[in-house]
Amino acid sequence: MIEQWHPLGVVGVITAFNFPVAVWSWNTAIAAVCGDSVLWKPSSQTPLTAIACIKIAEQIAEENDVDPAIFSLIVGKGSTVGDRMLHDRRIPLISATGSCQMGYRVGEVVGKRLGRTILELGGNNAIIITPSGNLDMALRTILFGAVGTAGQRCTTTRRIIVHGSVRDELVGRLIKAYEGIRIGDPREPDILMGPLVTTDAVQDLQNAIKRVQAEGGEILYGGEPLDGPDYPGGHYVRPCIAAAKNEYEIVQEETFAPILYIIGYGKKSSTAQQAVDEIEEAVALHNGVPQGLSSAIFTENVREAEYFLSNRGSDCGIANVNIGTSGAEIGGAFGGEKETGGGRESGSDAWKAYMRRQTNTVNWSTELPLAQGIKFGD
Amino acid sequence: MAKGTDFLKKLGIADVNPGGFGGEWMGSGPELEVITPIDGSRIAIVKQVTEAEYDQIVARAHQAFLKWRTLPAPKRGEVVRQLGNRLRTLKSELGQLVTLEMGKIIAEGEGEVQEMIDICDFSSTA
Repeated sequence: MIEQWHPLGVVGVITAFNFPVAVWSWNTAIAAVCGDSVLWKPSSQTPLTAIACIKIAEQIAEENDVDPAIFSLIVGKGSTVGDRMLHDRRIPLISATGSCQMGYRVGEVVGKRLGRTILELGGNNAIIITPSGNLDMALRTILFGAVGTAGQRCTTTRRIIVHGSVRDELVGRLIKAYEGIRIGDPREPDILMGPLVTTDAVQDLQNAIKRVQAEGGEILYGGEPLDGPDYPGGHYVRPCIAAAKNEYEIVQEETFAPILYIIGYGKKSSTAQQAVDEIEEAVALHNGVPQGLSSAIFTENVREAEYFLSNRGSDCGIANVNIGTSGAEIGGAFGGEKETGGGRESGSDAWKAYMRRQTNTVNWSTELPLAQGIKFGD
Repeated sequence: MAKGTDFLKKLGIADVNPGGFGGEWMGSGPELEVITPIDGSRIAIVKQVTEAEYDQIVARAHQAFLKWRTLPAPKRGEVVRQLGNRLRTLKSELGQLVTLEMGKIIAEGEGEVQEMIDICDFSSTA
């Protein structure tokens, strides 16, 4: 008995605005080696990068005397050609990156025709900071995780779950760090935060701020839209830090903008040793959201670190110790659980998702054994 | 088109661009205006695909698959390896386009292209 892996066919790849080229390549590079062709539907916000990539791929295909249609592209409305793609039985696999709302739609339509999906959906990524955690390192990783790409990564750090004994120090230093962030034209070398992708995203942030306040939270820093000659077009905001409770409805959602929720755990008076027993509370808060993409803990305590990585720990697809939530490492399976959709990309066995598996039995004898040893008519 | 956008030319981006590719470029559907979030100005126009063009593209992609699958895997890997190398030479230009089109800073735009190069290496050499 042997097993074979064969290419699947045309793989549909739907990508989001926030990683307009990388996500296509994660799928395409592996799918192409597997023998599939790829049909790419990019976000309507970022069709030009897609066109540029396909032109590069077209050239490479032609230089190698390969049909460039293995790298195909459609820019079109989700409601028309996007929907056609989901229903299309000529496309055995749809790999889709985007919001949970989009994922529900993709899962439903492709599932109805029993097609395959790889879903990379929303995150609500948190970092737990315990009293023994290195605050200098934590601060740098939070800054990059929460403000990098203007809070528009799926792995953006959205919640900080910090122990009561170090909360005030962390928040004070975080605000100071936020004050130093240069916001503006992302082409300028000293700028750390550019615009949000649409004015709708600016509005989403304003709505989130109103809701967190209405639910009893407090804005600790920023959040306001920026205007004036340095901020043309209405796409710029100051990144926001808010004190919140994990159970707030707005905290349970992914707002695709730079708003970071500070959530406390444990007793302010606990020593670092006593705080180890409070890690259960921190992890419960951590896991208490519908999404499950990326997570991290900052601790020097092996019990806390191991608890976080254990089966009682983080319920995310990615769980890190002393390094943040943000970003993907090629070679490590990328993706998450729960509403994040369960898909994995670019990991050690990622190729399997782009192939069909076939079991072959070759009878080398002159006898004909029947399954389960059944005697049938002899 | 905005100033300081020579990289667009190098990447083959024109004022008006067909938005469909299936062996050949096409796009006779509605126009899509592409805006940069940096200042809200227009970068270029993309002509989206119609449903008929969609069908044509999927059929062509499938046809291409039938031949592509017969090539030995190392030959397919070689194409992906070359794609990674071409991306190395165009990293700055493509990174700038990412920044212009979605607003992330240049280091992040180029970082994304680096990720493309990495996955090409990973899938063709690992």
